[in-house]
Amino acid sequence: MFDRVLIGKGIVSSSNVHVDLALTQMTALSAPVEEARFCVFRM
Amino acid sequence: MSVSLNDVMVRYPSAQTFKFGDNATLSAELLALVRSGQKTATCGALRDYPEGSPDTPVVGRQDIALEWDDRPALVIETVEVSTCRYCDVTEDFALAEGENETLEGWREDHRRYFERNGGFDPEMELLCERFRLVEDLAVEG
Repeated sequence: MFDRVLIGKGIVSSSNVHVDLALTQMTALSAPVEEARFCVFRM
Repeated sequence: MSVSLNDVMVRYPSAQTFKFGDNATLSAELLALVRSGQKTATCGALRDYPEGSPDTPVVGRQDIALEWDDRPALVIETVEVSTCRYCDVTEDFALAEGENETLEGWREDHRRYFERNGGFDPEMELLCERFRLVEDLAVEG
């Protein structure tokens, strides 16, 4: 049984990301879902 | 009083968010260069934009540049996207990036940037973008 679920999109293979977590509620699962927001850097 | 990211996203529903630079000091410097009009181009390692990635700049799309602390700073519109090897970047593009006065200076700064962000190779492919400033969110009104 999960107590929370992580969903998200973005790059996970590079160090060039910034991860910002925001909690939302997914009622179908009756568990909080952490939505990962990846922020790409531009130089 | 600064505008919230949610409010800006409502006004620019297609926008993606990103940050200039990879640390607070550099980010602030690059945002200032955009605000002053000196910086009208940017680039990143093509490896950071997998096929279909929503983060890939799109010509005509307006994206939101964030302050290092995640507050919305600027809205820019992409006007040109191209790919180019690091070693083939032209002086014209390097100077349009705004932070250097010479192509050699651009090469040095970007070599260091890529070394600390996933690795550097002189033949690495870059995603090069030219943009225009649409809105400075630090300006009230």
